Amino acid sequence: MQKIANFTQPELERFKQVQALAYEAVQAVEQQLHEGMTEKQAAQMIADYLEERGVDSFFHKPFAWFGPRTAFTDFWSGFHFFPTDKKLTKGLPVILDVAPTVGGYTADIGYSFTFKGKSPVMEKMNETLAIIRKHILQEVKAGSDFADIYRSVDVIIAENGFRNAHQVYPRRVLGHRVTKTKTTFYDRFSFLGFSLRQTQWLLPELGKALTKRDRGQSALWNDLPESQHAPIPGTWAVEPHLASMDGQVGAKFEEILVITENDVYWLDDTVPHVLASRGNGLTSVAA
Amino acid sequence: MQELMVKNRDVELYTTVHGNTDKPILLFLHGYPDCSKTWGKQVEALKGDYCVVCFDMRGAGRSTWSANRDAYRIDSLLSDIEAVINAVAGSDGKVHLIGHDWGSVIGWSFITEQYYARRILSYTSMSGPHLGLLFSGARSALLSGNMKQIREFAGQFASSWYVYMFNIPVLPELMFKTFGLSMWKKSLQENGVEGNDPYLDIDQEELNSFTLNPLGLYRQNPWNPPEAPVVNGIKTPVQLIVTTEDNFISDKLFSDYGRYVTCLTRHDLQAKHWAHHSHADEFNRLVSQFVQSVDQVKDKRAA
Repeated sequence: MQKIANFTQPELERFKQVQALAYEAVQAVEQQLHEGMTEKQAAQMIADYLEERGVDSFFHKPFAWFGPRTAFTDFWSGFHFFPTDKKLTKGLPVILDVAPTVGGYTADIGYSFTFKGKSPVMEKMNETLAIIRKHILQEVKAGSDFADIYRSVDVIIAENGFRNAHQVYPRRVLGHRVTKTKTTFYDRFSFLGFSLRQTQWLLPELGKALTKRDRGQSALWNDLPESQHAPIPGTWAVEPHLASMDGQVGAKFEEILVITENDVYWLDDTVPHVLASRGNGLTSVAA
Repeated sequence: MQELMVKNRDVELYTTVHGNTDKPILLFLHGYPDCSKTWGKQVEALKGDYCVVCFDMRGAGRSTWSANRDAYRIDSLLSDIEAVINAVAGSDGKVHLIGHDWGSVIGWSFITEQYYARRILSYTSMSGPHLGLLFSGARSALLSGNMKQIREFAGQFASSWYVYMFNIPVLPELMFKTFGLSMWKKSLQENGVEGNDPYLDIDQEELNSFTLNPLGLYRQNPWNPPEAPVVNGIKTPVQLIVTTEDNFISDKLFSDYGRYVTCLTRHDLQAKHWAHHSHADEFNRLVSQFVQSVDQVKDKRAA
């Protein structure tokens, strides 16, 4: 009966299933990648995998970034997020990022790895991301302001010798709300890779943030005045993204953080990067 | 009172059970735009002698809503009723069904389908026609060329103006979000609910749940009406309570229901749409009498 973060337990289970499916998709695609493949092909493979498994629409279409693009090097407009004809070669860092919607429940995930090789930089990044994952949970539990948590994540990133790459995302977001939306005919329309239906609730939020109205209710989590407030209960997609100083390597994770009136937890503690950081080494096993 | 969250398909249904399930079970189906609290007066009056069960229809009140495009098709709603019966009465349990407005529409389909009808001991319907009969009746009236018949159905389709309005995209949502609360209270009071009825004490968020989500009822069903019963096809004993001053449902709609229902009892109430509020005592007495008469026949047969 009790509503958790505006959702019942069975509703949260459905969010969890969609998130697991999204991670299954990027891990399956990781196994199918080969040298010479382009970002566009990889992104299409993720979309195909998910559409075959009953995904209704995408909050945003799949993204695939190879090499220096994982660090968002030279990204100066929103158009640079889109998959390009950049080809995959051995040892390149890769990020796959996708946000599918099934039956109205949306997940938004990010998955990083090195293609056929090991990279000490990427490993260090993943260790740092694991620290950040624990840190965010701790800070939200303590009730710190969103904007302050953002800045403390920046400190961890700097201490480990990296740059904050999530500031390249629209409105510098470290995270944003994901929610449950109705499935309609309009789902098929998208703008710049973002589904119109899915983003229509985000746009007014963006407007409010820009016009400085309704502070404290923002659906975005950044280091701007609109996020200077205690954690808001709900389901939040959190996406810390690191870049190396030389702009050659980037890594991120993205998953749902559940904030309730009296508890905070990551929706699923068996996502690939968590299992990997525990030393289970399951990252390269396709589901 | 026992509260349950009954899982079915893509939703969880908030269900309240008043009284012991050893007693005859009465299952109440609310209409639009209502939630299960509309049955407050029935719960109070009947929970002593019966086990009274109410639930919020998918999307309404404290039930969860579904994001699926066809979530409010009658097919899903029938399955929800079955899930609630299973949860309260067990997988072979039977109940007496009572429906008002959309609850009554859905109840008719429930007792028309053999698979579901076996779970129902008796059915009391008020202010909601069989959607299949409504459409097949309109079709045959048109084809007959009989002006009197055509006029009767034209009258009902004209008083269903709100159904067409609900099919306009976005507008009804805006209307309910903006004027919903005062409009809802006014509309209920004009149609039988008294000003001091505690049912009227709701907030905007609650109202949104039972006005906005179930709009799908009007958008997804009229274009795919359920099947009409064949002549003498409904074997469940039915009590038809006809509200003769109803602003939304014409009493003429029910004139030939005796053709389809083998055991039909009809009572006319000089009342408006929300007669279970305005004429609660009479309504409760009718329900109770009918349920008892059906149970007596059943007991005799068993003996």
